Amino acid sequence: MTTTPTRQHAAPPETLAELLDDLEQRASLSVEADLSVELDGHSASVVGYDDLVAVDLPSLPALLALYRDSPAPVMDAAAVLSSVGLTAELRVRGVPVARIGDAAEPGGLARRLGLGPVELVPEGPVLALTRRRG
Amino acid sequence: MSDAPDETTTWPELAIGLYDRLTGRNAEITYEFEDMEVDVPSTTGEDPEYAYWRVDGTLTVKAREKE
Repeated sequence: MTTTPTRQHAAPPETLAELLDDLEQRASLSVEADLSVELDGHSASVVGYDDLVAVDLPSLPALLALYRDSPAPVMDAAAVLSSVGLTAELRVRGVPVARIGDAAEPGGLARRLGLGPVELVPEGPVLALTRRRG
Repeated sequence: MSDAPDETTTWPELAIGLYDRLTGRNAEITYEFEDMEVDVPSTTGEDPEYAYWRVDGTLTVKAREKE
């Protein structure tokens, strides 16, 4: 078993690039989560399965609000997730609509839409809109 | 307190601090949130906007070998 050295005297990273360099040398993370979250009035559930974190939102407007109000830009979040071996899957009523992070495969459509390094699940929004509640 | 850590001023600094707490001792850390309410700032700069988050449930994070 290997251990991860701790930073004892090095200055903390001040930029995203420094953070990514720092994380590159370190172990990946594993997440188990079972959370209910309220984001500015929108309810969501967060479930973690080892290297996948699924964020399930009740509607597409809730997803857009999360995207708009995220404290970190999507590009930065994607880079950090990748550097620690995690993927975030965004779902609407249980239907995957987008992924960012380590296992995501960003496509041209997301880039043209200005969404950054996001893998869009093409049929996801349509299924989410047409899926009946409960 | 004189031995209190310096205030975190950037997202990268906050992130690496949390990471070191998680992995520095090869630890598994479980957080149990009971209706925790947080005002999340949009930036660490001056006059940020805040988003209201409420969190309830369990989160466990541990290190694993890079593939």
